[in-house]
Amino acid sequence: MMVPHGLRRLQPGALRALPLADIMLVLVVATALALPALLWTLQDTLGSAMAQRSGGAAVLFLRDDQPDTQREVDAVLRDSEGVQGWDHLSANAARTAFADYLGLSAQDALRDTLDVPATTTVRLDTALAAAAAADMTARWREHPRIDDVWWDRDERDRNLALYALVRNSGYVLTLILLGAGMAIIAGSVGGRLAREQPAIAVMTLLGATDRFIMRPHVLHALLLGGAAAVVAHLLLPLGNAALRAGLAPLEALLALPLTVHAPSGALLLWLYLGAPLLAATTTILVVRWQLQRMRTRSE
Amino acid sequence: MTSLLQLTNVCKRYPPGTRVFKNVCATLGEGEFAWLTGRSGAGKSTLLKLIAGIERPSQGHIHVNGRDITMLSAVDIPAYRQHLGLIFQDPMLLMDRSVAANVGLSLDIRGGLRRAERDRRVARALARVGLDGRGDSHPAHLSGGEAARVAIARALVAGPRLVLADEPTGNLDAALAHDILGLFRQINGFGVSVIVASHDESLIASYPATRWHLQDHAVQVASVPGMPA
Repeated sequence: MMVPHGLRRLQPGALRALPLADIMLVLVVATALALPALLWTLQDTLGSAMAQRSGGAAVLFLRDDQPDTQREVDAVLRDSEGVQGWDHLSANAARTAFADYLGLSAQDALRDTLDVPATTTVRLDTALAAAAAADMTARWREHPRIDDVWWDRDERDRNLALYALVRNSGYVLTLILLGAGMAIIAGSVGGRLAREQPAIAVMTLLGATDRFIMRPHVLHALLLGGAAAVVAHLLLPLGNAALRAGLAPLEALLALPLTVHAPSGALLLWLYLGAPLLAATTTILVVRWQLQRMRTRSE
Repeated sequence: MTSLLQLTNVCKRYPPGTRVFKNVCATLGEGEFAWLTGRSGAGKSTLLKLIAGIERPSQGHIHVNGRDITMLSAVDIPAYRQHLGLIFQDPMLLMDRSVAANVGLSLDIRGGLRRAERDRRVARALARVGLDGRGDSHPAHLSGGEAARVAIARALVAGPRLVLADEPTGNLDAALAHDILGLFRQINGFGVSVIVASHDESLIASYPATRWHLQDHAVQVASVPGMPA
């Protein structure tokens, strides 16, 4: 069987002699991909928790206790976009809920003194933009059958801000780690090219194209990238366990169900495509650049 | 004799204004052998580099097989060079692979051959230079003469029509130099055009052929005495 030029240099013997630099490279690329993957897992965990808790970030209507009013409010909310759902509470039920919220015991005399009107709790879609939500509540406030509208905008905004912080940190960290990974791959490839410069000079004299010279390096990069993806895959359960341990106090503090899910298909695709692609793309760029430099120097 | 190589008013200057030669005109026919002579620094290696497309002339044209190689783009140069046989004073063997792999490198670069055919051609090229059965040897274990033969086998294996050799016997003793010259004569006997740069007058005298002599920034074309008509 005809073995391609690049693969002949990657025979089992060559793999046994995998240098320390390659092992380090695999670990760095694996880390550069596994850490963003963990951040995405964290983002997913927080996103799911907030979606479940979206009832808390709600708009509260205060209204009279008439059945007609409830029907009119139903009609208004049905026509409104970005509303996830709503619950009506009679004045009595609202008073009980408010007393429970204040932590008053069932026997507490203060319960009877609370003057709470009938309410409707509206759950907004978490994806609804803040400006759109503000417009909508302003319109509801104008409605003649709605006495007042309380919008717990702060809590909703806090949730969104936390989510955005995690998401943006994820993007920044991903970029930093990918940049660091690329820099380390570039250094390793550059070093290998410097060692092979005499051989490259001979190949160039014999008419080798850039593609021919590049092929073994790209195959090497793909192999190391594949190994890095496997290592990153093995690191993910460890990272998830650490994430679960780290989130446990927060879960208790915020009373949020923070479920850390197992790596999804998209995450594994990111690892198994991302690692070889990152390694191969960086290698192609570095080899092209170095060959161009060698050519310029020889001219 | 059909012309394989034609140099027309070729000039080469290096910045800042160092002129190697000017208005070099010469022609090499199909199957012709030419000695390229001149004192050290006369520009022998530079002229071979221009013909090989390693450097570009400052002025003038170089036609190889009817094609003006001074007009080739950087992308086209490798394909052109694959059809040349280049031999240097230093055999420039790759020390991380066997003799056969070194010889086969030219074929790997050209591509398109099945493994068996490639190996057959490598074995034949090694046999032609007297290194039959040495394919598995390591270049570090070769003598200077054997390394030069491997370099010649590498230049020949892809069947070039033009072989350029820059001082190929410069590092060898007289007996080995004549052995290597014998190989060039043999190659030339197969109809391959050969240009050998040398300043070894005894070697040059032993093989009558066209002589391109570089002197005073110009080339003088002459026949070595005794050259067959």
